[in-house]
Amino acid sequence: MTADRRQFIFGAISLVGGNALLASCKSEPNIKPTNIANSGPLFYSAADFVLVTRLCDLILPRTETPGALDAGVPAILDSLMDQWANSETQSNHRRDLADIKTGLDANSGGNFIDAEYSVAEAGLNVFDTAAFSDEHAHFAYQGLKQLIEVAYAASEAGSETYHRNPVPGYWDPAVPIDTL
Amino acid sequence: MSNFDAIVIGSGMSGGYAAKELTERGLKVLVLERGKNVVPAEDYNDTVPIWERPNLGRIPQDELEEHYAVQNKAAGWAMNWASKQFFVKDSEHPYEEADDSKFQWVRGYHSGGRSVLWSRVALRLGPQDFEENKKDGHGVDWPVRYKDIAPWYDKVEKFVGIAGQNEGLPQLPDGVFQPPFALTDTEKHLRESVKANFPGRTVIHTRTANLTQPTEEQMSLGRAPCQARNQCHEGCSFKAYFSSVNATLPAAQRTGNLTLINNAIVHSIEYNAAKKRVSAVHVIDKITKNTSRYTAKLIFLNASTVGSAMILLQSKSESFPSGLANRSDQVGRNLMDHVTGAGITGRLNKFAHLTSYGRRPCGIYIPRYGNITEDGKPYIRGFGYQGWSSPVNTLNKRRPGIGREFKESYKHPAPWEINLYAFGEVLPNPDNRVELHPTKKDKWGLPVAQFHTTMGENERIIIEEARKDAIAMLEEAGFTDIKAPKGHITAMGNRVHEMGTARMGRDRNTSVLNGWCQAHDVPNLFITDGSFMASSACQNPSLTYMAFTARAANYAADKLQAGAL
Ligand SMILES: Cc1cc2nc3c(=O)[nH]c(=O)nc-3n(C[C@H](O)[C@H](O)[C@H](O)COP(=O)(O)OP(=O)(O)OC[C@H]3O[C@@H](n4cnc5c(N)ncnc54)[C@H](O)[C@@H]3O)c2cc1C
Repeated sequence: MTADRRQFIFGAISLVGGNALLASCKSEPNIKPTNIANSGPLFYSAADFVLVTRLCDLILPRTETPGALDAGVPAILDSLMDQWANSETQSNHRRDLADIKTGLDANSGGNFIDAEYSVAEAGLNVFDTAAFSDEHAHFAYQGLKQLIEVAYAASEAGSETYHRNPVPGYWDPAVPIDTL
Repeated sequence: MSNFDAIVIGSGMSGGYAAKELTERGLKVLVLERGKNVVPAEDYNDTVPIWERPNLGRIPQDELEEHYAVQNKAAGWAMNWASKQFFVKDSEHPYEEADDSKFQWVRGYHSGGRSVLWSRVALRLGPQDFEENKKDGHGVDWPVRYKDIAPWYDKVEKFVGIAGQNEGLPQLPDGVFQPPFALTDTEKHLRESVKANFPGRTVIHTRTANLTQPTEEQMSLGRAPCQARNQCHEGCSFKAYFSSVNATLPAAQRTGNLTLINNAIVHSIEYNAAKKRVSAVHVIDKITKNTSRYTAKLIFLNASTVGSAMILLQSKSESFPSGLANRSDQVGRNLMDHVTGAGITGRLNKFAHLTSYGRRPCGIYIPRYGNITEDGKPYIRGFGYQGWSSPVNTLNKRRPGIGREFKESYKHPAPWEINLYAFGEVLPNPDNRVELHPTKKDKWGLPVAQFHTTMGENERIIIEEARKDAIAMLEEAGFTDIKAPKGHITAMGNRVHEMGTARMGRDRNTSVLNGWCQAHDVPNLFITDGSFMASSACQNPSLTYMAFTARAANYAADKLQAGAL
C-alpha cells in the first residue's frame, strides 16, 4: 500500500471516530485491500469512503475480536467495486450509498458522519430495524450490509472471528452454540 | 500415429472410466481430449485462502457477461476465481438455439471434463427406470434391466467412493457405501415427520462421491478423506472427491498402457466400408489447427452427449450419409435433461440451540415416490428432491442488527432453514434434438451445434406438483415461513444432465446402440457417455454413465481379446 493511500484510509478512520482503533495500530495498519492503488480509494469518492468506513465500524466493530476496520473492509469494498463490479452495479452502488446516507443523516441529527459515535449508532440502529421490517423494506441497504459481512468473513481476521477454518477436517452437524 | 488397441474420445466422467477399465484389461489405449491437461499439483487453486483471491474469489461481472454468459446462467453457483478454468468460455464456443428453443449448454473442455465440476450426487437408477418406457410407451424399451447393471454399480461405487447409507428402498437401490455425512437435527426431524405422515416417502442422506473412509485402493491413488471444505468445484488437492483427474486417469496411467493427448479436437471418425468397422479418428490440434489421424481396433466415444452426437453427425460416409451409426435417424434426437423450478424454503425453531462445524459437501435427498409408492398422480414418471439445512444466522444471510450483537449473532439461538428443490424426469422426445448448424462454424471450421429443445407439459406439471408436495411436507413437519415461488421451470440443459442422443434399444431401426452401448451398425464403436440413455429417470445420472461404461469396456475387451470385434 502506498503512503498516500494508507494516509487516506487512516484519515477516513479517524474522521468517523475510530481513534481508539488507530491508537492501538502498529506502524503498519491491518488493512488489506485486495489491490494496491496509487493513492486514495480506487472507486469511492472521499465522502463515500468515509460513509462506508463509518458503516463498517458500526456494523462490525472491534470487540474482543478484530472489527471490519481491522480487516480492511472499506478498502476491500472499494477494490471490489473497482475491479469486480460492472458499470451498472457501480452506479447502483453509488445511488444506494447516497440514498442510505440521506436516511442515516435524517436519523442522526442531520449528519451521520460528523455525529458522535453513539448518535450515529442509534441512528443506524433505527435505520437497520426499518430496513429489515420486511424482506424488501430496504433491499439495497440489506445488500450493502451483507457485502460488508461477506468481505469481513472472507478476510483473514474475520475468518478467525467466525472460526471459519479453511480446512475444517470434519463435519459436525450439531454443535451447541453455548460451546462457541 | 497408430496401433492402439482402443481410442477413447474424451477424458471426462465416462471417458476416464473407459480408459481405466480398458487399460486395466491390458489394452493399449489412446485418450484424445480436446482441452488442456489438468495436473492437480499445478492447476488446482483450492488451497488459496479466500482473502488471497482477487475480488474475494468473485469473477468480475463484465468478464462473466462477455465470456461466460451461459455457464453463469446455469452453473453460476459453482463458478468462482478458482473453478473458472474448468468452464468453457461461451465467447469461444458458440452454439445456436433454433426458433423458440432454449438450451443452456454447460461444458468443461480439459482433462476430466465436467467430472472436475460435478456436485457428486451419485444415485443408482432403480428397476422401474428401465421398465417404464415399455410400460407407458414414451421412448423405446431399454434393452437392459436393473439386474444387468447392478453388479457394475457395485464395482464402480467401490472404486469411486460414495458416502451414503443403505435404506432398503426398491426404487433407489442400496449400494457400496462409505459412512455418510451425518444429517443435521433439522433434517432428522424432517425425516421422522415424513416417515410418520407420508408413508412411502423417505428423507435420506445425499449419496455423494466424497471419501469418508478411503479404501487401500483409493489411498494408493493418493486420495485422502474429505476435509469438509465444500470447495469441490475447484478441484481438490486432497483428491477426496471423485473425478477423472483425481481417480480414473491416474489409475489408467499407472498401468503403463495409457497415452493421453490433449488439445486434440476430434472432428470425425472414419468408417471402413469393406471391414464394416470404424478404423480411425481425425483430429484438429486446438492450438496449431494441424490435423492428424489415429487408428485403433476399438473406439469408445465419450465426448459427452452433445459432443458425441456432433462427432457422429460430422462423420459422414457413403455407408452413413446422415452420420456414423445413424441409420435409425436417432442420432442427436431424444435429448433429455432434468427439470427443476424455484426452490422451497422453510424455518424451524426446534434446534435453535445448535449450529454446525465444517462445510458438508452434500445434504439430503428425497427419492422419487410419485407413481411408485403413491398412485393417481397427474403426471407420468416422477421426481426426487435435493436439499440441505443451515441456521439462519449463518454468515452471509441477510438479517437485522448492528454492532456487537450482530457480530456475535452466530452464537445466538436462531431457527434453521431448510431448502428443497425437485429434480424431475424429462421424457424422451425425438423432436428435442441437436443437429449440425447448416452454415455456422466454430473457429476450427466445425459446424456449431443447433438445439431444438423445449420442456413439455409433463415436466411443467411435475414441477407444479413437486412444489405442492414440498409445501405439504414442510407444513406437516412444523416448518414456518415457508417460501415457495411459483411458475418458473428451468430450460433444457440447466441441470447439466443432458443425455439420450444415441439411445440404446432393442430395435436397430429405432435406436443407435444395443444393450452393451455398442453401435447396432458398427460393432467396434461404443458410446458410453450419457448418449446411450433411453430415458432420463430423475436421479443424477453420472454414476449410471460410469456403470454402463465399465460394463461396456469389459464386454468390448472380452470380444477384442476373443478376436470377435
Ligand atoms: C456444476 C455441475 C454439477 C453437476 N452435478 C452433478 C451431480 O451432482 N451428479 C451427477 O450425476 N452429475 C452432475 N453433473 C453432470 C456431470 O458432470 C456429467 O453428467 C458428466 O460429467 C458427463 O460425463 P461425460 O463423460 O458424458 O462428459 P464430460 O465429463 O463433460 O466429458 C466429456 C469430455 O470430452 C471432451 N470432448 C468433447 N468434445 C470433444 C471432441 N470433439 N474431441 C475430443 N474431446 C472432446 C471434453 O473436453 C470433456 O473432457 C454436474 C455437472 C456440472 C457442470
